[in-house]
Amino acid sequence: METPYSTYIKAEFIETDTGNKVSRRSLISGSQNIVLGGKTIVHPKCTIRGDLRRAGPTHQASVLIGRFCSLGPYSVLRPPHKSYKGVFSYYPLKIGDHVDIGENSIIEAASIGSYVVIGKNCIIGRFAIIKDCCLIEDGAVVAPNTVVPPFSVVAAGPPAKIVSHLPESIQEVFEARSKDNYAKF
Amino acid sequence: MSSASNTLISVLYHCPCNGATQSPGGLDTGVRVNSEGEEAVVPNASSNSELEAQLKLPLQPNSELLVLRASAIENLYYCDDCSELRCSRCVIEEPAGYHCPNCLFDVPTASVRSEKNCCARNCFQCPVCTHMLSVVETDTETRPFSFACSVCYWDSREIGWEFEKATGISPQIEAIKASDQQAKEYTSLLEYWRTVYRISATSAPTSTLGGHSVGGALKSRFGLSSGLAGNSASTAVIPPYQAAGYMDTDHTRVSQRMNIENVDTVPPLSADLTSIEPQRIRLHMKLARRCRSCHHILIKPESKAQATRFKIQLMAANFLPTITLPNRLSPKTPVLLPEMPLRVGKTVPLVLRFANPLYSEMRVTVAACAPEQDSHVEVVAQQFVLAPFTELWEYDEDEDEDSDGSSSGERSAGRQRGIVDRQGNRVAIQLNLTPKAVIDNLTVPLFVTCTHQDDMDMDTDAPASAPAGGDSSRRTVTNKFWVYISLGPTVQ
Repeated sequence: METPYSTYIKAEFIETDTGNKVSRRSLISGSQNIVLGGKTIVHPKCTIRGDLRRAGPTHQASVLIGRFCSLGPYSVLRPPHKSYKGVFSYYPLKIGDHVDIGENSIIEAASIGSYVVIGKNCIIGRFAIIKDCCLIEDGAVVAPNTVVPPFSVVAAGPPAKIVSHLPESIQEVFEARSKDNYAKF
Repeated sequence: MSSASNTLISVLYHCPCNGATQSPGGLDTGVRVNSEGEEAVVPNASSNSELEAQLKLPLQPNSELLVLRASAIENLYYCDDCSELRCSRCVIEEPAGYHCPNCLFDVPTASVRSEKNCCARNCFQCPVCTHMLSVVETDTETRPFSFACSVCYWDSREIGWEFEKATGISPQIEAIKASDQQAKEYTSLLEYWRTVYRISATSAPTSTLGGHSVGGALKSRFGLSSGLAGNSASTAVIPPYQAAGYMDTDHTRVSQRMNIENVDTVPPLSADLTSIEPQRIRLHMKLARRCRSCHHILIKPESKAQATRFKIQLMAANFLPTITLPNRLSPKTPVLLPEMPLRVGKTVPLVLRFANPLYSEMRVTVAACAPEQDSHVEVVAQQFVLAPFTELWEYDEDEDEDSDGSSSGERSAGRQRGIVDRQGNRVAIQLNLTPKAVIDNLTVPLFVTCTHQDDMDMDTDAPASAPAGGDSSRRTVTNKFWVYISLGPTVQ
């Protein structure tokens, strides 16, 4: 019931000096606009769209990811876009530390807090705000512009509703889980 | 990588409380959980088997109550005054702050009452899909704003709600609703009766009904029995109620409704969605938890809605050893989890890992329940010592794994029999498990006793039972609890 060790082919992953392990088979566009905190794992076939950024002064990060995150295979991370007063622009996507994104999930949120676990096959709508210490269950469809308050478990959808609450110790549980995940990778 | 952990395999800790009815400590079945400091006597092997023989399971492993009484260690709390495990059923919950789940705005307690537990700002629910509504700009020239749902595309213009400004929706809604006669009448009625109650409560506190004079017209309209208006001890003269605008003159319908005897049919929910109004979003509470017996605060959250920290957080995982089933000890050693599904009659070694969260050493004794029809468990290592937890272990992990991986198969002379691995504050022990019957979910109950020295030198009012020897500033704390390990189905 503890996380099993998983191995990977050395040549398949690029390991940066801050400890990020990025798969060569992941689809990363606009890598100069993507910031990865240390010790983050990007699995194969994960798409990160750093090229969708706001037009303006060039040095602006469009995807900011924290430490000990894990982006599952086939997941898609896109910055959200909005047409405001006739001006179309992309907004930055900020992800906190210790976030585990499941496989095949599409993330278009405005911000995701720390210690969040997102299940498989989820769809997080545009400009959703997910606060710290949440659990998004497998297959949940979070509607655009929703705010998921801390310590909530969100399931089903659309629109995904809060089904239960997490215990107070969940922050340590998720933190230990993500560190364990990284250590055993 | 998401964990693909087998959800059938779990370790559940049993809380011996009786739930909401009785505070823990008054047990009628099972083993008494001792909360006072005991002498740290280490039982030797022979007395342990006697202990095993005396052990009585609080709950049968297949009992449905197990779901209620036992849970994973993340959900459990620990009261350090009583030195006992607490579950969510034996703690008292109290609100520690209210906030709106949509705008995450902290609502002061006074406003909670006046706003009827709803958010007073622009937070409304879509009547069709209960998603949050957002204010959008529309094309119309007058009143360009309205509510829209981004999931079902419902728009508030369908019920005629259009606003001039994007902010300050509440007064604009009030203006729209002002034309609703019934709602106004209701609020004015409420106000009237509140004043009546207030005046009668202050003036005639001894009378049971708070006698007040009821306007004659009012009395006849509502058909009040004389019992209510019997007390004619009217002290202050309260003017009879004047209808604010709405008067239901259909007396027969009103008296019919008031004299309803049986309700056999319920009218179906109207499918006419155009008349349903968006409701305000209800507030969420932040809960503070207290121990039921000593009222010591176990969980105290910070008052800000967005903060996820806690001022006080006494979780069971910080005081009791965490028991897990490791997959393997290091990348080089073989897999430790037995092959699933388990086969009847085949003895498999089951490895359990105990992790010590405390800063002092802990002695652990594991005893299996008496053999029963489901399985037979032999505990090889019955007692062992867990080293204290140091943060340094987290940094030394890489070195430990290399050194311990090689010797897991051999047992050197200094090692205790039955201990498979020792890493930092964690010990992996081996149990031999023989399933005996084919069942859906094999659950192995284990009785765990852990003892540690608690050096708290601030306790001047130490419990009466002084520990044997040692300084008076240290006390020995013993925790005993049952653990149920579920392992999934067994096959022939």
